[in-house]
Amino acid sequence: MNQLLINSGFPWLNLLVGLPLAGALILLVFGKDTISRQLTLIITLVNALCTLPVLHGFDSSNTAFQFAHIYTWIPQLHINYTVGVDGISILLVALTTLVMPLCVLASWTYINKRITAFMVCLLVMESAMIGVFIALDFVLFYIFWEFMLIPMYLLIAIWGGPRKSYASIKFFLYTLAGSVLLLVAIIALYLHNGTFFIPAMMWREYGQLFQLLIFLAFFLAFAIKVPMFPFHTWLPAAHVEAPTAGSVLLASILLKMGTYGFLRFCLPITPDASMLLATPLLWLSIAGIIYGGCTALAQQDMKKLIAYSSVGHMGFVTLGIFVFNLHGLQGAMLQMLNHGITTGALFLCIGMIYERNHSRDLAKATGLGPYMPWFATFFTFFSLSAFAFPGTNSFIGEFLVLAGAFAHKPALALAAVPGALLAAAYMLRLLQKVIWGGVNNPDQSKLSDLGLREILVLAPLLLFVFWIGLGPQPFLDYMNPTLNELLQKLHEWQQGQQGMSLNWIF
Amino acid sequence: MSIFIHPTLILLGGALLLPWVRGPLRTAYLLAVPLLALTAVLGNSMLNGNLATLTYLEWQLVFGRVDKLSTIFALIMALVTVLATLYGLHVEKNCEHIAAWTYAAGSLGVIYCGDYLSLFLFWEMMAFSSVFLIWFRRGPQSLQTGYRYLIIHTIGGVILLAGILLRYQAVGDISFTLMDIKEPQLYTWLIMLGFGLNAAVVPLHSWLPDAYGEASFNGAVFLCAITTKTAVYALARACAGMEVLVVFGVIMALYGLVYALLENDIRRLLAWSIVSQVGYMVAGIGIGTELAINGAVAHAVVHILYKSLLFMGTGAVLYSTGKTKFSELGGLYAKMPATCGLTLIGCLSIAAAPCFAAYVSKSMIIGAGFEAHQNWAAWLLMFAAIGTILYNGLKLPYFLFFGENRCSNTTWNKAGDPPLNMLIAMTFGAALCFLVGVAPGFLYSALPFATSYNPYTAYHLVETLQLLGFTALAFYLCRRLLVPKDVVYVDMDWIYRQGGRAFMWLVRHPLQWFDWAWGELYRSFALPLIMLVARFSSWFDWHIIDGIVDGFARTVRALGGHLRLLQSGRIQFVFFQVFALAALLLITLALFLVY
Amino acid sequence: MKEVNTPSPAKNGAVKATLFALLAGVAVLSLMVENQHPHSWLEAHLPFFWSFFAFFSAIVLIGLSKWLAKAGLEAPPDCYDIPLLPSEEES
Repeated sequence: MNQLLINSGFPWLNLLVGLPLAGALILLVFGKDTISRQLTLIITLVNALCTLPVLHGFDSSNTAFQFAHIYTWIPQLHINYTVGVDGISILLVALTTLVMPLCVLASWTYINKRITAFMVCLLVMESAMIGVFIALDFVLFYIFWEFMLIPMYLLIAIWGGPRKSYASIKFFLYTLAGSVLLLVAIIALYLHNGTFFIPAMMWREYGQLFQLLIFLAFFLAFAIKVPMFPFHTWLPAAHVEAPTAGSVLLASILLKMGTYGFLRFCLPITPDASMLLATPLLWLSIAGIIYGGCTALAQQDMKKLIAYSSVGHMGFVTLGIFVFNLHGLQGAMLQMLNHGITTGALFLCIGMIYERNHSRDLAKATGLGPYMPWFATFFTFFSLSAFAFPGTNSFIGEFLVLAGAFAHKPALALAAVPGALLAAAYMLRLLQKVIWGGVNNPDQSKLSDLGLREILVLAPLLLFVFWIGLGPQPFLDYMNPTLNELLQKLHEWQQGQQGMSLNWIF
Repeated sequence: MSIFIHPTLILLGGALLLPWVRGPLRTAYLLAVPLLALTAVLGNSMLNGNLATLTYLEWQLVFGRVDKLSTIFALIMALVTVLATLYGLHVEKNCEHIAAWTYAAGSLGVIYCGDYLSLFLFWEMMAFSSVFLIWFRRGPQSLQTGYRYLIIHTIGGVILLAGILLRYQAVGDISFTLMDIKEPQLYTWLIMLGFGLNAAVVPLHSWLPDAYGEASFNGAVFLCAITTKTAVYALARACAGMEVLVVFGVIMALYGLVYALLENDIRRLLAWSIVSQVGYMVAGIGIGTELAINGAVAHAVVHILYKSLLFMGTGAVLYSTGKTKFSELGGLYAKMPATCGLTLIGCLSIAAAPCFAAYVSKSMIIGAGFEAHQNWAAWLLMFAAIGTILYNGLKLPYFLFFGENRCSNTTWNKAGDPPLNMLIAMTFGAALCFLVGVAPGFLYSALPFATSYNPYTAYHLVETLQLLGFTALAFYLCRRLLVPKDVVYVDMDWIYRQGGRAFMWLVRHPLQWFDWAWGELYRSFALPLIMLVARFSSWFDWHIIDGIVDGFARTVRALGGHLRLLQSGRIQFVFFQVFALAALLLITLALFLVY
Repeated sequence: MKEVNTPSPAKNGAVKATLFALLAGVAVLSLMVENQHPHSWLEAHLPFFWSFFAFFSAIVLIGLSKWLAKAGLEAPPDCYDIPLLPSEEES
């Protein structure tokens, strides 16, 4: 187990997973609506603070999994509790713990019935989400992966919008259908390797057909999560009907699990299949970028617009992953962070409009600018970030992805460029309508501007928009060694093996 | 001073702090900030080289590249910012000033930058702040026009970005220098197109009359000077000598003038004039010799001077009367004499009258064309010069200030000379036009290449006088033909304006339907299938499995019922049953033991 | 009230005469001035070259633009507001 750096100090990762779970149990037993919000806020803030020592103590030059723990769990089946972080997962864990307190704050007045149950769901979700990113044992990973479904389902089904039962069941079934094959693949890998330890399964000699089938099984589960076109139809329904916190978690974190899965599992475990199917996946990403942009342009429902824009943005991420060069991977990783921050912020903003207007219809939310100047400022910056305006975080991410794509195949990158344009078109349309509107704006004079709580929710995200945009080096420092190692191993594999190769004509 | 002070920082800082400056201090502040920026540029003009560099990730960003080319452009941009701010001094809304200063700041950033990454940052900054100058007109069309402007400039930015990325991948660095024009690659064309869109190269020009005709009265002064000339600078820096630019330039010069000659809106006429004059600059850049580049740069400088003056004059007409169409104006010299006089100086300047601005620059380009043996280009540019005299030196003043009075009563009553600050700004502009015309030495010494060009030869003087005089004669004879009518003239933007609406219809209806249908697949196919299987299972469960179970249960119950009968309570029956049962058991036991 | 200052016909005539005289003067001047670096044969040998060039170019330009206008460039001011299809909505 030389890939693991066993943790000798304080068990930070266990705390990060365990604290929210403990908090959820406490709330279940003792919770009252009056204190559950404050308690959840404290727990999520503590969790966020506990990420700082992990970030600080992370040795960027070491590519092993750090802060690791192994506890034997079910020895007969070789299932252990193995956790650890590397360059890819540490940033995603940090994103999760950052976003959680903001979700709690955003739901402060939004949720007014069964508050305790809501907070319990949020805490369980946090635990499960962090668990997914740090799990290094396949069964543990699968448990956390499935664990997320129930609280998310409840979040939509109980506190959701008018069509909540439809949306929640759709979300649940879609994700479950994908994960069923994931379980089959995991078991198949176990039977082949005799262990569930993930790093031990990487870069192994599997049969070509075996690799292909495993990859396809993984692909289905992750592609639904990302979501890649055409497996995306659950996303608009789920986002639209979910409460604000649910939408933010869906967009910021859950979508990243799909691409995280590609990076963590598909590339190292099934490299041949990944390289074989890279070209069609790249074009599928392009399709997602363009399609997401076109459909977003047609929307009148603000949440649906951002939901479709997520399809487009995640298309850039998968584009960056499957070009298999450093710029592409850096851009993809960075865009995962950026999308989490920016789209989360946009959903928070729309939630704030919804709390005032009780409508997600764009026509009812036009012309807010003169009455809500703080909101207008925040919303403007987040919109600029959403279409990759230079100086914001998404610009550098998209720039790196496009640079990587150009290095791989210029035609591909040129095909992605209209997507950037469509993003500008629909975001500008949204921004212009919301802030200035037209000549027939509804009367917005009764709306109050952002309160202190809401500004506190949006401010950290704005900070990151500019921090990552103007000084991305620290973030890249975390991910570079892991990405470099991944690429190096991939290239070694390519040279060493006579993998299946097809000359794709496009 | 040996440190580089970036004027962009001054303008951006000034814009940021403006909302907090109130009262009498505000006017002084509004003047001070651009003046400070101008001072910074003057200070920077003593320096030379790549200053103010920054390492960002793996790239070296250069924010202060100072040489003769960037200095002269920075000077004129800073100067026009001062004039335009003075012109709009009385505008109350802070956001208008903030937008204008951010716009100018972006332009100065582009001029001083030495790498493509920071160029792109400032390029987008220019596009996104200038759109506000259109939206602030607050007319019925302003919203749509601004939105169109923004989309087109974003397209241009994206094309530029694609070019930058391709070039980075091919060449390996992002430095903003002369590209290898002998062997143009895809990225060379893309970067040229990206710059060219901002320079309103035909066919990427339609946004210019569309947007500038719709801008606010003071915003237009900023707009006319900044976007196009910054693009000219960028072309001069990166694409000097590209032959195709000569063709583009000549086409622009002729295309713009035809529309300007027809145009009914006074500011759209000037916008078309920008297309035409920038055509001269683009052609000069394309010719690429020292004289040609000098001519292009000189023409850019004087163009900013007289165009801003002209937009100031027509802006004053808009400001006082609210009208911009020739068909609703005319004969205004009586009510707006100062405006008329100052605008006339602008008209004389653009017509290249001796002692006024363009006299010293236009002939440089044409002369360079002849010297480089691009005779066809030079003759056509000469031809276009006649057109310039026609529409801008003759048509504009005649139909706006003199000639027949087509004003309505309200318009006539409203017409009057504008406030003092606007007049002062116009006077400064006019004075500069005159100054640069009579003493071009100052201008020539600041040009990128050393030159001994002298426009005041006797021959040139007489040639220009002939051109002016006989064009005027032709105009006088044909003036009835040129009377403006209340119509619009469609241009290439018809294609994408109608195309854009068709695209939106497409996105809204068929594509939306497809997405709905694809999603409906779940609801209309998958879900019923699942439910069918579920119902079948339920039926199977109920009727078959439960049937067996129930049947079994019923049998047991029946058996129980029969057995109950056996317990009737009569002793004989009981004894009979016991003995019968015992006998059965004994016989069975015996048989078992035997076998 | 609109006030139109129409100058008297006599004044008009005087102005016109002065201007024509100036024009003639310029044309004559062109014969007297030497061209150091003629760019073309026409310029060097044709008298009153620029006068003719200016006059005829102007006529051609005016004619060309009017012809183009009639050929389809002209359109009513609201040509973009006419809906393409009945199901047209906002921007």
